Amino acid sequence: MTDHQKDLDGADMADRTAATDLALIRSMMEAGRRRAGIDGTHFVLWGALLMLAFFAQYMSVVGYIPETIIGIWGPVTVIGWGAEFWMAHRERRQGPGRNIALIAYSTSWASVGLGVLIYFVISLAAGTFDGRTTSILASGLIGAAFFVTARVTGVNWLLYVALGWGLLLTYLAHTTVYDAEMLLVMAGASALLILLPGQLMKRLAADEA
Amino acid sequence: MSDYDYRVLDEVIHSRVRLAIMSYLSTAREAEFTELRTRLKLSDGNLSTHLKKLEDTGYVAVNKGFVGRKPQTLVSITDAGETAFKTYVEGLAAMLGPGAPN
Repeated sequence: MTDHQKDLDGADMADRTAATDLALIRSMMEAGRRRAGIDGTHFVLWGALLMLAFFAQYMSVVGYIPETIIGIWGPVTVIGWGAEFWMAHRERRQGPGRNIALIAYSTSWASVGLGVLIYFVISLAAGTFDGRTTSILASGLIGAAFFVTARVTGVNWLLYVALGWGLLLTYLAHTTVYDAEMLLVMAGASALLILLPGQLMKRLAADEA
Repeated sequence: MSDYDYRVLDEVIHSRVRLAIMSYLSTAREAEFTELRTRLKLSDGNLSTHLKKLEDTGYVAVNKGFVGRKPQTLVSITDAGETAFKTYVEGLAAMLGPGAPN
């Protein structure tokens, strides 16, 4: 709460100027923008899970732990979606959840989860699973979700995160080699381009509260 | 009030409380009654009076419903309200001249 928002109804009209009104407008618009924003919890959740999963897959590929795709990605999927359903249930109990920006944000990220999940289940069932395709698909969907999130919340620095995923997508689409080190790149991208922005968003949300 | 000729501005929005409500809703799009009351530090009656004026002018829509068993009042900005707010801000900025902050 800024000084501009204090004692609105008791404001001394003699002290009121166009400049003070513009300052009030600016502070309230910023508060509204953050209200429409997000607290970064979902980013932290998925950033941490993906970072650990890609790193575990790297360890598996280089032979430090037994080779198992389902053994790594199965728990990640169950934990991630379980936590999402729990948080959605909690948010429904706590508030309206009808804010259009929140709907756009949650829908874009649900699209990421569904897109990757569909590919994961079908390709494993059909025996066509390919790590490079997964990474390309995930990078494109995550980049798009960050772009949508930045636009609807007005948190413009998230556009740089979207750009980061776009660059990674470009690199993945360009390279012909997808070796174990690429799994480390994806683990690093998950930490740098999901987990870290999530922590920053949580800090911003806490400051606002 | 030396440089502030408010008569050229929309008098419905010009009230400081209603200006704050419209500014908030212009970015949040909608808010709960209790959320606005807390943020603006107003009483229920005071906020209701200002919202009624905005609603009567067609600048906001007030929808009453339930979340579970809990009653909830949601206030959202309308297209007319958005246009009026934008016009108001442009008028205000014009008063400050080309050096006005964005």
